[in-house]
Amino acid sequence: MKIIFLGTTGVHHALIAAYLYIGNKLESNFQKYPGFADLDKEASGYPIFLGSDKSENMVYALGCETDISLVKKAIEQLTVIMGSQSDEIKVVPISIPDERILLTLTRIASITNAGNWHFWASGFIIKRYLSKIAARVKEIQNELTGQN
Amino acid sequence: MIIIYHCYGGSHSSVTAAAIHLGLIGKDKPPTNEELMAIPYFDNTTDNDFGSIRFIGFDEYNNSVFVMGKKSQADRFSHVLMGIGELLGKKEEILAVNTMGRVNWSMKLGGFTSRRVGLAFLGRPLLLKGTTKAFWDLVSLVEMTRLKILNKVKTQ
Repeated sequence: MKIIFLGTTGVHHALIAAYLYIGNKLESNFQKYPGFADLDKEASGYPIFLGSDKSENMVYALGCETDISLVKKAIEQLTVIMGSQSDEIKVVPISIPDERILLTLTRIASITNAGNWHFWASGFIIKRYLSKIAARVKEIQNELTGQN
Repeated sequence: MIIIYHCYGGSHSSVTAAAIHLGLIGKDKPPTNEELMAIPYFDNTTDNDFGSIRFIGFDEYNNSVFVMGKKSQADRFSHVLMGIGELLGKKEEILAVNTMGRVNWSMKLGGFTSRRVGLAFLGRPLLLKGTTKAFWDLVSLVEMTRLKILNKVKTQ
């Protein structure tokens, strides 16, 4: 199975959640996680591979901009249309209160081609929601363990 | 192979492109209003259809042609869909085509008035005029798509 953590952006809260899910410890210097606030990875639109969990499921983060439920629905339908089992891809939505601000910052940074301020501003926002993200990951782990 | 034409609502530019691709309307002259209205799903979708990948038909090479409404997702949405194909090990079997670049203001305003506001009698004439105006651009997009498909098939 492939697990996709889906957020408004794929290089902030979704990426942190995915790293926590595959077994990384919650650290205060979470900005060191590879790919954090990486504008090129975000702009590509492709799912970002981050590693595998204990059950060898491949784990990805993906940004979907404004409408998480729309993209979740499209991914689930596409999986079936392409002839795969519906459970081959598990889409896990990740939301935090300031996700729209992160998305806006990412868009501005992409246009202005700026790097550092976006990195630090994203870090500042994410830091406020680390415990919330960790709690959500716990829920997901319990949910998926129940399924396996 | 799976081809997905996508636009904001999945009811105007994407379905017109799909209809051109499948030969439901000819590509030698702009369609009449009646021909446009006869295209499946043309100006006939609801909010529930956002995110739904809807089948329109098979082309002459047995490729499946779909349409989808993706709201304001940017051009990178094509990569999202193709990335999922890659994850499933079927990278070469999917082609996502954004038709938003071929949409003119008449289509945007007419489509908004007809679908979002719900005043079809007001928006539809403007929408039909805009779609007729965008027809050659959509034909060109479909032709480029068909070439891409041929290239993909050749490289397989």
